[in-house]
Amino acid sequence: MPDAIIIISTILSVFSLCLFISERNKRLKLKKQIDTPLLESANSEASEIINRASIKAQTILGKSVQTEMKLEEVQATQAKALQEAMEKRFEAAFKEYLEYLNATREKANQVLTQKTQTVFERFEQNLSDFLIQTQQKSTYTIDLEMQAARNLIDTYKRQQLNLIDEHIIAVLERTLSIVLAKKLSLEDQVDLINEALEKAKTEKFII
Amino acid sequence: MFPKLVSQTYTISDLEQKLQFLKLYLKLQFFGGENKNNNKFRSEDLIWLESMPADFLKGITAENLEKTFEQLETQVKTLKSLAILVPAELPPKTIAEITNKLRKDYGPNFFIEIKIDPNLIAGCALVWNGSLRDYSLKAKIDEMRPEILAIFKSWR
Repeated sequence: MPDAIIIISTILSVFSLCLFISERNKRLKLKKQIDTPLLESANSEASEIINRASIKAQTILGKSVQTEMKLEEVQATQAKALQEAMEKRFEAAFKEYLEYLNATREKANQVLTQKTQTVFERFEQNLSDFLIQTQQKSTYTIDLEMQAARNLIDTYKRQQLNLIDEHIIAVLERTLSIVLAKKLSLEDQVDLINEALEKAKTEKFII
Repeated sequence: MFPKLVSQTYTISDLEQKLQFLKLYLKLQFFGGENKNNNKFRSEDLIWLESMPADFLKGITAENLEKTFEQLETQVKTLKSLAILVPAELPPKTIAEITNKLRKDYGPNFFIEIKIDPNLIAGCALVWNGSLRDYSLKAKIDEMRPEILAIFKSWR
């Protein structure tokens, strides 16, 4: 049953579509028949308008070419005047610049000469000071060295003299020791001991 | 006994040696039995013992021997001596004379020690209680060193 409904509805749809298409074609034919004279008149009007516009455009174009030529002429005149003015200005500036350069050069020469003189004078003074200082330092160093050498000699001399003194005393003691060992009698030695003991007693060494 | 022992002894080392000899001698006499041979002692010690008075060892018996010598040794340790440094040896007689003279001044228990120092040249140096006092010729030379050197320098 549902299949029958589908088939019937499909048939109805196809039929409706065919009817719609035929109706549309009829209406298009009818409309075409009505519009044809209107279109022709519109076309002629449009062509006329276009022709007029074209003539007007050419006129305008001719005028603009003339204007352009005039403008170019004015522009060339102005450019030439401007160039001449620029050249004059440039020449004046260049001349002024050259003068400025010359003046500056002269001034620089003067300053340079003066500075060079000052530098040389200062260098001479510094060199002189340096030489004097070097001489003083050298003298001072030599003096120090001389003093150190003198001190060294003095020390050595003193040491040698002390050594000689030591030897003198040693020789004296040795000589006395040899001589007195032979010459000093027992009585004399005992007398010396007793003398020492008396001295110790007086000094209260033995308490 | 101690004063008699001291009277003929002048140095502490001599005193200690004599005490040692006496102790051994008396031990031999008391405990030696039949074998009392004195040959092992030095002849000078035996001569010294004979020179001592007869009552020198009186009162010492076998019973109190050890105690008596202990007391003597303790007494010796308390003694002080004067060290005399001399350049050459002195004969015992001279040492005795010097000591006796000192004992007159400082009492009977005064001892000396003789030490030899050849560097002293002549005279002597004394040491008492660890202090030295030099009375020698060497000390005199050291004291007069500047004057002596000045004399030598004047000869140059």
